[in-house]
Amino acid sequence: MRPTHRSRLAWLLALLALVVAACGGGDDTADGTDTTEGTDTTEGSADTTAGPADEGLLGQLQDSGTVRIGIANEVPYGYEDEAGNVTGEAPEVAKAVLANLGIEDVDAVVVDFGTLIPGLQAGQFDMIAAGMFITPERAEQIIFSDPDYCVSNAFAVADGNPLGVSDFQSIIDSGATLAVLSGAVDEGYAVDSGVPEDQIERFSDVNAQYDALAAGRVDAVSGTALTVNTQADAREGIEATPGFFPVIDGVEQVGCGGFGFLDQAFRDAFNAELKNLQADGTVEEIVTGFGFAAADVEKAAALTAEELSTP
Amino acid sequence: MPDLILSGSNYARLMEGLVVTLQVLAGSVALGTLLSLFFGIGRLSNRAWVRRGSSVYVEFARGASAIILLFWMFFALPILFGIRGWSPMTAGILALGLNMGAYGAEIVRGAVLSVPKGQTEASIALNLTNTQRLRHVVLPQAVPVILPPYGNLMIEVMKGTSLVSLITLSDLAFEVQKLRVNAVVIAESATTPMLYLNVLAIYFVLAFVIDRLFKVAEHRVAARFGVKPPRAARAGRPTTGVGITG
Amino acid sequence: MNQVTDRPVWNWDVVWEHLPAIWDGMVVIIQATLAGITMAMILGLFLALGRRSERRWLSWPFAAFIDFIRSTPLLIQLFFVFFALPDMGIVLGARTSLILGLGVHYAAYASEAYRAGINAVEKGQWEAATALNLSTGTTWQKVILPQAIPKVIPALGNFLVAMIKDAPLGQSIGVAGVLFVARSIGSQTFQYVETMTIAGVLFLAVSVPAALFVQFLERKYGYEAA
Repeated sequence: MRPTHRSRLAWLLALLALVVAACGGGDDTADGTDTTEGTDTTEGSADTTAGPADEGLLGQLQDSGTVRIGIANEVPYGYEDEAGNVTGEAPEVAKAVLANLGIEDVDAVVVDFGTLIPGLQAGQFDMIAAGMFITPERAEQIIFSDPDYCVSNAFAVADGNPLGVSDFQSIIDSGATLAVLSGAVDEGYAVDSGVPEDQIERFSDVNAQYDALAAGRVDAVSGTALTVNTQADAREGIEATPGFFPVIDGVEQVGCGGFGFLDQAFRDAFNAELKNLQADGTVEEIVTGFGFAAADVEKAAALTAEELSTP
Repeated sequence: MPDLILSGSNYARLMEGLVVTLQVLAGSVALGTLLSLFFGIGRLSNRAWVRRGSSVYVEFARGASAIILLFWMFFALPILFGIRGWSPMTAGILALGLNMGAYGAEIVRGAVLSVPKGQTEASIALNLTNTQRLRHVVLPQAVPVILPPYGNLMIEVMKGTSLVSLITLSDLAFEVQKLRVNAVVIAESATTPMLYLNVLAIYFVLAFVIDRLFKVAEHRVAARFGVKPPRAARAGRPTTGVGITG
Repeated sequence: MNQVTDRPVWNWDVVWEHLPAIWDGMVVIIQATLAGITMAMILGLFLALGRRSERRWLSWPFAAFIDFIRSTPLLIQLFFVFFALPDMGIVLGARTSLILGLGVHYAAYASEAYRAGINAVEKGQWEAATALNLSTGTTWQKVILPQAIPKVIPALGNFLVAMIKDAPLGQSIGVAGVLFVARSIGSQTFQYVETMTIAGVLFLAVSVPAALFVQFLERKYGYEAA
């Protein structure tokens, strides 16, 4: 009986060691971007300016050689392939740009689309590479790079398009139930176009929308033309309507996507390199490889985040 | 005829997720055990403020929904307290550990109360300090009573780890969700039902292993301390389940 | 240029504006819980009876099913009902899926409580029923169950409290409960602190009183049934 208290102490120490190990194991994704930022205060005052005292986010990422990007598992914008490697239009462009900035390793953090912005703000990752549209509302929350692609909107419907859906007005007229992604522009398009609440089903996961369509829970899914076509090709029983640009309050909505940041210096460096790769055709090559039209890529190259962020 | 067995690479990814699940489990159990001991004994303290404080913790932690707590820690906490970039693993372990501690505290309390009063009186008569009494007399006799419901509680926590998949941790539950995208949309290599059944089976095996380990521990402890737990606790999983003791 | 860090830490306007919607979400949770516990109570008894069967070919599958459900996470079970069943031809709505998932999951726990309650009825009762030539149905209906069920009620109360805490998992299959609504509003307004905190506070405001009430009931009726 004598060793009892000693062995119990050993157990307690072992448990503590486990806790420490588990916590430590979770933090080692990207050194230097954890709680040690130094410029943070509880009131959330400026933590994005690369202060004179520390080397800033970009410097830290370059030192560690690793960056964490937020993606939403939306094919083909940003997703993990079967082996678990991150790929997709946005991650691949990001990888090319970051490599030129000296950051070779890209770790993906997969979140629901609506979690991308709060996740970035909470520091769960260093940038968003999910093909997120640049909009004025979002530009108030984060900083965008210039866009690297533009795309039209489309609906996924059951084969044969039984309800004759083509645009948001037709959704209203046909009484169809429309699936939209929480936090995505589609939600706004639907509501602003006047689709009644009882016809809108919100989903937090992009793929769940198409599951719902396949199961007959909803009549249509709103998404970018490319997402819709990808899902329609992969699943039986679903087809895509032709792409269109929603008109809200007389203004045609063109969706152009870019990369999201909180850190100004990081964003500027990334953007500069992005422009270089757009100029030499690398971006076009990568993006069209995922199914985008060349015209849409060129259109994006001519736009800036500034223009798209102005209401 | 859908394949019951998934491809090798799919299993590899699931195993990676399992490793994360086990990490979260280990951390949560470690934290939960510490809290259980602290607050379980705290509820029996002579000092009223310790007793009441422990009771408040137990009531609130038992009433809190783990998933809401997790999301709050993920979304609200960083902004409220300016803590940016804290790992979801920490949030997960904190939320699950806090939850577990409340139930564990009740188990510890019940077990300590089950130790015959004579033991406490004898310890006082022998001039042992409170700490000595706890460590050398009461707790060793309480352990056989703690183990069976504690094993159940650990299985409940293991099931709870699946929630961390909702805050970006790539545990077993999240891996299967991600695999669904590949398997269904891209590679068409597996069906959704088969993916989930496989994952459920893995969790089942995990629960089975934990159960066995505790049975072994209960055996050893009974042999060592010579005290068998009351019949109700020994007869497999307790009837109230869900880690709640009366 | 970046305004994200200039936001005030807490914005009361957001709270008042969205409190009703988030409370509606809480009501959804309560409704789902009540439906779920009803299903669990009924299905649990059925599972317990099946498990008690003397025919091994019947009792073993029941036991295996109960064990399997109790050993695996509810979240995955919900995913299975919502995402996998359609592949097998069964398509259920989100709320129905949640109720079904909660009901089956807790029926497994309830069945164990029923089993213990039934086992606790003294042997003498069974023997007396046989001596009085009562049919199996009457024995169960008039003798055994009336004595077994009061013992099970406290456990069921605990399951109810546990189920309230599990019901928000429905957010992962699209049920517009308190968490889903809070996240939805959060993603539109970017005011996560307020929406998440409201969700948490509203939830505690329901779950803690419920738990205390169940404890009160336990104390009041727990000793009488013995």
